[in-house]
Amino acid sequence: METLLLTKLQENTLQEIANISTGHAASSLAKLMDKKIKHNIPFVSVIQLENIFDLIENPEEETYMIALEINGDVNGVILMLMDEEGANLISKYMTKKMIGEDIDKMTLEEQKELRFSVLVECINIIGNSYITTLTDITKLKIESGLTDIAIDMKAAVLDRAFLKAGATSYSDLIYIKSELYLTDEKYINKNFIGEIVIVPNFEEKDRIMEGVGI
Amino acid sequence: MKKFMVSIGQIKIGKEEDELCAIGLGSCIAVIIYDSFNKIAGMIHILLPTVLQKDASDIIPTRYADTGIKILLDKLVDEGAKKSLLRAKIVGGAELFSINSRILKSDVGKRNAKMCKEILKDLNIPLIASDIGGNSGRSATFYVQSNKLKIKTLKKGEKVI
Repeated sequence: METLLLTKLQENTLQEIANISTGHAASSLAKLMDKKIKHNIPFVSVIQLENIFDLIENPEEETYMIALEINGDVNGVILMLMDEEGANLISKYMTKKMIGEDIDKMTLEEQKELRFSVLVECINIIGNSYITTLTDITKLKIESGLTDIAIDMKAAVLDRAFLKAGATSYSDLIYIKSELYLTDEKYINKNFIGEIVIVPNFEEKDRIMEGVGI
Repeated sequence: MKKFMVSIGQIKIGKEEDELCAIGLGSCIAVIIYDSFNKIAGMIHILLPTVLQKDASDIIPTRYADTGIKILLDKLVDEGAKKSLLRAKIVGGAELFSINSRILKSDVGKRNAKMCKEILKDLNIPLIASDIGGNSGRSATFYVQSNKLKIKTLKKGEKVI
């Protein structure tokens, strides 16, 4: 089977769109957390399920995955992946900023419940800043769909997400990843709080390209 | 000794001291077919029970249970395994924990497991052991020499079947 590749121009275009979108997403998240957040330059690649392990680091690590479906002219999923520590930090700062409560003082059960709703809120905000930027640039119609959270080994949650993004009917998917860092707090993982992954269908990249006029 | 990583839609064959390894099995299933006399085994990492669009041009048969397991069997026989001595073990097919049942949750794991069992029965390969279902992802390593399958999960640790 031939492997499909992106041309340099397509790759750069997607990378730039992702860069702008991640910037917007990161600044909305920063506002909600009242913290400074920076992100790296997004990584764009075409993947086949057969070689996802070349792409995923630490596939056996426990991972929180929050997912947002996207529908319309572009179908796929927007994911935010983080380790437990990242999830804790996000929920801690978001609850402090939004409802003025200290999550550490709550009972474990309350913490757990609150953490889930905070994380869902987080993907809604990140996902929708992504979608807004994407529609602004490309003039396509894209809507956000349902959200979900899964916690398991990284490889296991990711292949569920890839299935959701259409790995059943398409052999290739586009994988766009940007990493987020807190700038004013150091913790174990080099102040890394999570990564945003967006997986649109390979077939639909042409629509994005047309949208930006390429 | 070699350690083969088997990712989705792949088939790997190992002999003697080799290890076959599938990481992060969610709703996917790893089927191991082995011949303990000739010390040869093969693993396939299955994504779905059957192909959805029969007319699609770019079907990869090893992603699906109904087509993939037969390919694995043929490969094993080509490599010198004796069909009457073949035995099977399967692992995977979990439903991942999720809070919203509509998106990430599905019964793919269950259907995968059912289809694998049916195919193995059709092919007359006895199923010796299985670890399927549940709510957590698994990593599986098969040791060809001892026919042991080591299964690791995040919460429950390791076990050997």
